[in-house]
Amino acid sequence: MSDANEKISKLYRETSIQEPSQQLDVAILQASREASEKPTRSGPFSATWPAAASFAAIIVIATILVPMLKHEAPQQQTAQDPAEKSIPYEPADEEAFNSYSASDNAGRALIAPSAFTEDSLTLERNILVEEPATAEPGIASSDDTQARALRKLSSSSAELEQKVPESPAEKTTSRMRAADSAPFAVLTPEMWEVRIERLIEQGEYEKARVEISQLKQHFPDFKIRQSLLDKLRP
Amino acid sequence: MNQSLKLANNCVSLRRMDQVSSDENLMLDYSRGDADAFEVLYHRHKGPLYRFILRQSGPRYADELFQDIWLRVISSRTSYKIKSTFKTWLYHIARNRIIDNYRRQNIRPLENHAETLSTIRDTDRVQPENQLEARHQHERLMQAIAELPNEQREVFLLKEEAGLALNEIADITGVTYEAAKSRLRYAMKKLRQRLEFNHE
Repeated sequence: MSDANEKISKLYRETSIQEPSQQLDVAILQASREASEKPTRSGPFSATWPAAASFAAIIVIATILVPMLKHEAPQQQTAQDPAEKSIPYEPADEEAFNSYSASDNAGRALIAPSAFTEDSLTLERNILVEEPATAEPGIASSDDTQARALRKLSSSSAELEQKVPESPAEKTTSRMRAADSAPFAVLTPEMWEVRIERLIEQGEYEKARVEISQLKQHFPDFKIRQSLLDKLRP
Repeated sequence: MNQSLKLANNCVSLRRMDQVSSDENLMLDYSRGDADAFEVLYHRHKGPLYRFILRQSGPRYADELFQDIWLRVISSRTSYKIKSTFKTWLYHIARNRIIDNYRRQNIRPLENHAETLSTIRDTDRVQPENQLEARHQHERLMQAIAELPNEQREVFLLKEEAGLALNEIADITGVTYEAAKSRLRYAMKKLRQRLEFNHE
């Protein structure tokens, strides 16, 4: 059987001698040479797909995203402008501080109190956050502003603790100062209480009442210390 | 003198390339722009491929298909990757192109019998050493091959012309190894019967 198969194979090989014509050979070899001489990548669109995809992504970013970002940027700038404005610190500006404490809730800059030590004042200059005119008092205009203010406050508090004298009494005083200088946006009810307490100590009862009413308004669930309320009773 | 020396050098380098390089390396070289590599590759495979096409499609379409298949190889050079042997890849292209041609021309492979046989007779006539008996046997063999069912003829030609192993044939034709083996067995049996080799 396998002999017969081999015989068929041999016979086939003897018979099968056809070849393509010479013209065909020349045409194909010519085509192969022409193709190998051509550059494989003639332009950006003939590149392989990763390069083409990158190219398309760049075009999309340049034509769509950049104008979009540019369009949004002025709006963000407008929203951030009040927060970034700062009023230069004026030492011994007790009146400005008092007016700040008593003033109403529309947008305003915070000014550090004059009674601060040199070091703390330097730090306080950095804490200049303002609420936007449209926003409710005590509520930051945007998360971004609030986060920034919180970061600054926490860092300043930490630095204050490092720099102020070590005694417990002085520590309390420095905390009170921090509470005094803290903006509405970052005031906790406890800090607000400290501030009110300080106003009472200074004999500023009217201002303290105003502050208490503001505190109640912003933190309706917060229970104000009874001792503090007692001090304000006529 | 100088030109003939250059031609001789070129021939020597091509011959060396032919002996040393595998088909796959030659194709990779060609994809990097080495046209000589393609020439070696072409000369290695042109005869078997041409005859495979001739037996499957007949002389009317053989030249056109042959050229088209090589042009496809040329155009695919940049995307060529060694996944299987070059020969398998080449015959894969050839088979697909032949099937496309059947569909386009709306013909069946068996319709080409007469044409195929006419080319055999022409070829045999130009061989001076052919004797009458040998010529007669050749004619019978070619007629028997032409009359094989397409699947069996395809497997037979891929084995005899391309020298492919059964697993490669199975890969190209898209059937299992067993199916390819079975097709070849049936093809050989029919050829033996036609040539009356069974009782030898």
